[in-house]
Amino acid sequence: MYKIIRNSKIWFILSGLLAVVGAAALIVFGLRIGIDYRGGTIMEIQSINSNRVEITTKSLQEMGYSGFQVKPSGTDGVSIKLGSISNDEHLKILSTLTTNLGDAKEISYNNVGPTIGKDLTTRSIYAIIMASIGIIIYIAYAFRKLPKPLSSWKFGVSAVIALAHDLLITIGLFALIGHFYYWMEVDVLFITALLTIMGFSVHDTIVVYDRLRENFIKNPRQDIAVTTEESVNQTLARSISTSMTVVLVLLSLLILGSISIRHFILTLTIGIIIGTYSSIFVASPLVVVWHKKLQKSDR
Amino acid sequence: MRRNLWILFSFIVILTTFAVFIDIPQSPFWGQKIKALLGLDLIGGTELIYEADLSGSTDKMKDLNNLSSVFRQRVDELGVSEPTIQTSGSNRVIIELPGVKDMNQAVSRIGATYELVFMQQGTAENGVQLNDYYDPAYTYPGYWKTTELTGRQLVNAEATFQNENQSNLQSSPVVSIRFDNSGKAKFADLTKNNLNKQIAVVLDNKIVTAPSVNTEITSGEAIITGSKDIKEAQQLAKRLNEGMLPVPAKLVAQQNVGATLGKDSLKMSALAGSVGLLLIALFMIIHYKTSGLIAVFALLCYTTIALALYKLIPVTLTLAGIAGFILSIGMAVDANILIFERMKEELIAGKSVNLATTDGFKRAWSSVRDSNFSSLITCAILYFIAGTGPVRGFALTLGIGIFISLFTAITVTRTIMLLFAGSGAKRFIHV
Repeated sequence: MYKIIRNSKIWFILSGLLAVVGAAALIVFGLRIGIDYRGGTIMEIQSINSNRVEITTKSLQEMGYSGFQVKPSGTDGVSIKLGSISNDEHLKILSTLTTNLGDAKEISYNNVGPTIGKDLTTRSIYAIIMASIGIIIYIAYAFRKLPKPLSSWKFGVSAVIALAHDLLITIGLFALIGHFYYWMEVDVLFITALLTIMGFSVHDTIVVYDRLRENFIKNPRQDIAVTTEESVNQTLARSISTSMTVVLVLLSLLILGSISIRHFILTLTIGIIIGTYSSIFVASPLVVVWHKKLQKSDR
Repeated sequence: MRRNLWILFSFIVILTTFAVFIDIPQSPFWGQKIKALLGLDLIGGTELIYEADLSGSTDKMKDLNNLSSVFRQRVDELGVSEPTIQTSGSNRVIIELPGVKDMNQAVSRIGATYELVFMQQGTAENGVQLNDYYDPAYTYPGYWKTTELTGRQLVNAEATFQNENQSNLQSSPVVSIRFDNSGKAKFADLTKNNLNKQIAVVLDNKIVTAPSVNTEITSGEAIITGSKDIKEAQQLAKRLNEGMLPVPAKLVAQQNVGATLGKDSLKMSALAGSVGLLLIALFMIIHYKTSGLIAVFALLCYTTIALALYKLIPVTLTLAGIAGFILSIGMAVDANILIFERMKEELIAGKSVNLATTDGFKRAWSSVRDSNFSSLITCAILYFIAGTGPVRGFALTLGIGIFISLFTAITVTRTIMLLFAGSGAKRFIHV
């Protein structure tokens, strides 16, 4: 039997450290907000001109644009990012680039106006709040029939703390990655990934809690730490296996799949790994520590 | 009992076979293809989002729907196959044009402000030549110039029947129109000045109808005759309604994806999905031996049924949607893992294979149900609240996937395992 509950201090310190690092990264670097939310324009231009990045940058400067970014993309492309523009401005840029580069071809164009971005931001925040409430209500419902002296709200709150821990670490990590890699942007798919992680992370926690409940009913007089230790160990293999199959498909998507949703898949992969860790090493120990603390204060 | 199991098994086999026939591009049974709907990010094309300025509108819903049907009319003229035009939220219209590479032509054709105007005959100097609304190839003879009367003064247009004279039982379809007070006077002037001449109702610079004025009309109400049948009259009334109140619309977002980019993405996703499926199959067989093999069979049933359903519903498959499906393949075996681990425990506790199988399924059910339910909650929220194109695609494929996988991972696996467990083949069951 692995001593997961007995060593819970180690996991708490580890998780605490990760969470602090995540929060620090979030505060120091901030998130790279994509055009979905901020509004703006991304143009992908294909050109075999060897000075394409320099020429494009210069052309845009001459046209009076500022605050734009030009990056090489693929073997013969440039990616231009700038504020929200009208279609007429778009056409003007395209024709200028065609003249200056000699062979500019537009591969893709994406423009999001500021009103759309604002609307999406509100909707995303609303979705996250709704999902959090939905999951809390669901956990409370799933554990409504706990035998005394276990309390369902302690289970629920512990699961939610574990969930918040997963999200904080994932977001922090992506603030860090986003600081160094421009493709790691917070767009609508990033939020989608976070919500999916919430749904899946709770799944593992519920499997462990379900077993804890069953064992407690079977043997109510046993110390809760021992019962939890047994439960976590009994469900360890399945917790890891169920996450493993999901991580396997995600890894194959990450390595072989399309590059345009790489950030989405990466967020899902890391979030699900952290979620599995927390359901074993955070959610269950929390219940034990909390329970014991209350027992002590009762005496 | 065993008979029921065999019936269930046959049902599963038939269902899966049926799904396979839907999945393969050319089915031998119904000859024609059932095409999968692919999103713009996969086949390439243009997406435009227009925001209507409804500040001066009294019936926002109606105006937005009118705007949307005007857009549809214009898109149809572009000759795009399978466009989607839908209203979104309180003031937006989303137009998706698969395969349209020339976004700028589409923008200039679709985005022009439209207005309904009443025109009278003019000359080459002060008028313009106009085409027919329904048949753009037909140019009306003569020149047309604008009058002061526009759709702003029109308050109602509807298709109805009119008896030409009382003794005649046959009635003909007409469109009756009504103007507001300022329109009443303008319309009276127009009819007075153009007695026995044609006037034209023009929408989008095309003539919707060009009736002859028979008499001066001062009541502000008129009837346009000449519709072949009630359908045509209804069409005409609809066009007039669309033009009643010109709603200014602004292009607020546009996206164009090249077809090659999409094609590559599709291939890569298909490869990633196949490799993922293979990895899971290996994992399950190595971990759970023959039971794992049965789970892999259930997983294959799942894949074919899910793909068939996506085609039949149909679900528009975007890149994120396909990722959702592939993710659901990974989640589909989770139920099997939970069940097999439970069976292991039951076997260790000394139960017979048959009993361990039954109990394993029974006791694992609550955790299988509870754990999938939380993912369904987030899918529902993603679909209904966060919902833009790619997110909805993801939520829909994942959500449908979870539902079907609950059926395949439990019913399919249990049926086969119980068939084994209840026969001489039970020594083949390992977990």
